[in-house]
Amino acid sequence: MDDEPDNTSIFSMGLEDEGFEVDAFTDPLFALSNYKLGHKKYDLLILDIKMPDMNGFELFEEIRKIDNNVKTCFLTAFGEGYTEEFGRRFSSSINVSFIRKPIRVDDLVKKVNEMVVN
Amino acid sequence: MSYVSIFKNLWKQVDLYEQLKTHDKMQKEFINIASHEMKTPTQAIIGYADLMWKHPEKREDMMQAISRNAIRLQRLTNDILDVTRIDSNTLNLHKERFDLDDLIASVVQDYVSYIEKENLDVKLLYNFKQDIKEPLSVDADRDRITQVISNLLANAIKFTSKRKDGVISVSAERKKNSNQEEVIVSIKDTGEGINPEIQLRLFTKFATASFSGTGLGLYISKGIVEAQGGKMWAENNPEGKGATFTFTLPSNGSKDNHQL
Repeated sequence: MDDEPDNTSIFSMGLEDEGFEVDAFTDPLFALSNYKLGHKKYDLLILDIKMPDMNGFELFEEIRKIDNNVKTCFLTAFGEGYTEEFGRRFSSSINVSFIRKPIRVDDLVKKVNEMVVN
Repeated sequence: MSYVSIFKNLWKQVDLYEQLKTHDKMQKEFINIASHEMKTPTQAIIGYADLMWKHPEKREDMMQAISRNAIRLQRLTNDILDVTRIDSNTLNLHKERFDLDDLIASVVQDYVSYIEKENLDVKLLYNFKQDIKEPLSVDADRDRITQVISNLLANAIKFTSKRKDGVISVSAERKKNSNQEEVIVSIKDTGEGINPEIQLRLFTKFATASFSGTGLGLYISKGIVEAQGGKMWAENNPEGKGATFTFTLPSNGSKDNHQL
């Protein structure tokens, strides 16, 4: 989930190359309604934080109402000060982590493998 | 010195300190947002560069995407530099006397060509009324004023081309107020109009960021105009369709009054 089409394209391709099955969205409201339909169970959500209409945290809260344990990785291009604040907000949750953009494709794959396997 | 005047001095210092703190906070906020915006095209460049090796069949599309994002990053870098120059009053202006009518006509022509090339449903009109006796003569930085007019026209086209039969009318005239003569340039469109939610902060930094724009264009345009003694403002058209952006510049009057 990233409102930048280039990012969804890059991250999808990079993860699919490593054998992951990826559903990519650029519209958070559409992503949420798709999730609510419940056709699929996801091993990991990768959510951009800064998006129009609904930010990544708001989307996460809505999805958590449906699935309380879904693993989530937030993407952020904000600086260290913000990511520390995000970390404090979710410090008690073992199923939440953060990736700072820009990120190399290999590093994204490594992080996703860590989250999914663990 | 009385107690009242000591108190007044202290209060002034406290007030100044609060202003500096607010300014510092706004600068840090700007840096945070600017760096966030720069990371977006950077991510695209890094990502596509990483993927190109594994996907030679998509190399051409990826090269175009890298190029597109590199240009986006370049524009953003230039705009951020302009913002810092405006904020620190170090905008280097190269003033010269020129006819604003000529300049507007030239920029309008460029955008007419652009509209035709992109096949947009927009008509761009300029009532070019060059008057040799009463030219719209100004003393200003020609390149920077070109930048302002280009920015306003690009915005007008962006928000008007989404509607059918869009029309953008550009006008320029000299007006005399009590203090001095000034030239007024207006760009009126029949587009979406200004969203009331952002109208108050329309000329602030990153008020409206999008893929095609940096979100700094209006702030920079206003800064350029004000640095040259002018004003800029925007309002929705009373007939309820579209908006008008206007700026003024001090005028030099007719050629006969000046040594050229």
